[in-house]
Amino acid sequence: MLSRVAENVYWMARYLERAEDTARLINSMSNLLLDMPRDAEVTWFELIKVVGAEEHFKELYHDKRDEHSVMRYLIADARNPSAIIACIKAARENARVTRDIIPNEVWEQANELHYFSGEYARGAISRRKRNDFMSGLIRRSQTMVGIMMGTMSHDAVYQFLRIGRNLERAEMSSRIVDVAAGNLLSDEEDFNPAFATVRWINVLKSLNAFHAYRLQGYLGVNGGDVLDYLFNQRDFPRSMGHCLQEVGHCLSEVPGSQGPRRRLNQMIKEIEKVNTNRLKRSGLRQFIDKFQRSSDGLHKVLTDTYFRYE
Amino acid sequence: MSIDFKKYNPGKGYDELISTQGHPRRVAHALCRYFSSLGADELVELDQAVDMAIKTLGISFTVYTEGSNIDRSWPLDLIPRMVSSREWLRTEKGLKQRLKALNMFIDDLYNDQQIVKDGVFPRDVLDGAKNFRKQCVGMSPPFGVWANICGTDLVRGGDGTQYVLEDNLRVPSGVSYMLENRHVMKRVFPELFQDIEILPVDDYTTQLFDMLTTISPRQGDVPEVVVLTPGVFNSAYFEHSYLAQQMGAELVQGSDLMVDGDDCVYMKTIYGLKQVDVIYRRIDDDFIDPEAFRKDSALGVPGLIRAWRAGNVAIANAPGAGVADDKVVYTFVPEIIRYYLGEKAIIPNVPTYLCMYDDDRAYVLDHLDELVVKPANESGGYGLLVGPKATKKELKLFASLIKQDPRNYIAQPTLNLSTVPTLINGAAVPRHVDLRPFSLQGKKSYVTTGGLSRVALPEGSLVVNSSQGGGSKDTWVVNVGGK
Repeated sequence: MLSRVAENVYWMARYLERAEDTARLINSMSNLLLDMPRDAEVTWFELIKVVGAEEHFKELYHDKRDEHSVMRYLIADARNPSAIIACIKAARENARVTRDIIPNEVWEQANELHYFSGEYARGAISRRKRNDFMSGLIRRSQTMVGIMMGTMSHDAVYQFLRIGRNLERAEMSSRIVDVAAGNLLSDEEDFNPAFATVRWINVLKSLNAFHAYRLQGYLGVNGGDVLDYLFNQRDFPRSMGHCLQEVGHCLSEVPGSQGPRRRLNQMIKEIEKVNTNRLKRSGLRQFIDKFQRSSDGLHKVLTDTYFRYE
Repeated sequence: MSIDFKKYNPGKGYDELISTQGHPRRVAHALCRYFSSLGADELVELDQAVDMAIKTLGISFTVYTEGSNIDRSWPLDLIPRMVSSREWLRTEKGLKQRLKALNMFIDDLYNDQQIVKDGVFPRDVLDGAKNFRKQCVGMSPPFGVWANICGTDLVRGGDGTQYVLEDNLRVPSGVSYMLENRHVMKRVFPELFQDIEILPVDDYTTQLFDMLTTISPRQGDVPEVVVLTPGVFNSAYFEHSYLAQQMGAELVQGSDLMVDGDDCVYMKTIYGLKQVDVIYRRIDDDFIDPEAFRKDSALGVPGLIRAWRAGNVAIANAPGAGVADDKVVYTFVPEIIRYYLGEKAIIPNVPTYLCMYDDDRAYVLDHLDELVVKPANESGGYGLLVGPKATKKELKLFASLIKQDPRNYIAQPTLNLSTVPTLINGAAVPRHVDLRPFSLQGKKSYVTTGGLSRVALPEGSLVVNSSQGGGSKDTWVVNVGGK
């Protein structure tokens, strides 16, 4: 397997995952805001914080923070490299340059996704068609992942796909937790935010974790349990711990992975150490910042180990 | 509005499907009956089905002038071009003959130059050949074959005679579109494939791979075959990845390869370096190796020619093969066939004037407005003058270009290319076509069944290149049986 191809499939998976996670995020936010009173402090702009794009957004939209601008930026603004349409395009371009490796059906699905997002993304900026678009996108993205699972041989190419997908997902999950949960925690004692339960439920929902969390048999929905679940529940495919564990499995299937595995094990240890019941706002922020830096670090080690062979 | 072939007027030229108004040729009977039976709605539906299939399959091509828009959907017309298998047998024979002679010619030029010594091929034509590479002198690739893959442009004149218009021996493209056209047609017209005996085209990539393995320098082992592409911005990138995928070969860019101190070629993989045996290169000679050719090339692999000369890697087509892909050399092909094979060319050339000869040039300059003028070494329909359609300014420009560099120009009479009914705004109207079959030569020879039919979409236009807005058709070689 060519080093360049490894890098391309890795990015294809990352972009695909990013598009899907963004769609899920938008869906859950749309849901939450319907439940909130008009003067609640939760706003659309939270989403811009989740994806860490405050500065870039301000450059393009100045002081606007309304729903339409935020949706346009996240869904259909080609100037935003992480907009859904841009992610789908990038995933497809990476698929194109690896067409010799990936099965035809995967390529066909990448095209289908690309035409779907090209045709309907603009319409999804307004509320009425938004949900349909996001569901359609998620379904198509899942179809693509399913085709990959079911038709590719589970060789090195496949491992790099999974590494890309899980690393992206872990990062996205950490961002969602950071912003969604950040507002619900405080450094002050006896902090009791409005609508806390609904909002904690929404934190779970934005990672599609509500149902799974319920099945797990927790008593109520409270901050400590929710965070513990999203950090460490190894059985749940969107928890950060699960994603890291998956990356670990993949690394054991590819050659020369000592370097990346060392880095990964550090990350796993750090996340296991956190006591989520006693986490305050500043502690959460510090932890997530560190997690994202480590994730970047792992990406760099992967790049040096596999993609930049000289 | 459905298609009424009784109203289709094939005009004065030769039409591939309809001989005279209301009378389809025998190969096209069943097809015309089928299309006539379709209602307007069905026709629109089929047209949309073709479009949809092309989009989903991601069949695209690039036009350089479109900036960042790196792909456009491939244009495929609903109505196929039909050829009888009997006629095709003869064409196939003619193509094999031609490629065989051309390869003997190239091998001779880089070695003894017997054909020049014998006075059959003029020394001054050879001296003016831009694509003669001195770096290749003294080499002889496996089986003496330099051009392993050739795309030949065939056209039919108004009287129905088939001619060779061009031999493309450098990096001919289009074969993937031929294969994908068929793929789409089979999806959209399954019932026609049941009723008409259409010969399959699918084995090309298998034949290509087999041919490439026969030229590997490491016989006995399973050779590592790669397809070398300039990258995603090349207009034929779709084809490069398609062929690599179909052959199960790695698709590599120059930066994925390196030549080591042992003069062997390696690719960079996640497991380390892996030796490469055969390179199907889709990069022009000029850019393939900055050590040997253009120093500013970032696409190539430094040292590749060194490795090739040392016999450690096979390159198809061999560097230097383009010497015979020169429109002046083209003029001599009938002589070349006679010289090496002692045979008459089965498919004739289009009569050609060489501007390097005084008499020819005088004639060309006098009759510019009737002729098609082509530069000797361009491809893709760039830098071409179609006399009867040219403005005064263009005629003047070409007259001065010819006088400046006569060796670089040839001229041919404007052929009234044959037509095929083509769907434009829901009606079938005659449009001009050419045909590019692909031939392979390694240990054995092989020719595709049919080829890529390209069609000039504007009324009366003779320019079929997709880079110039041409369309395409599936080409059906059919068994009609009987006498």
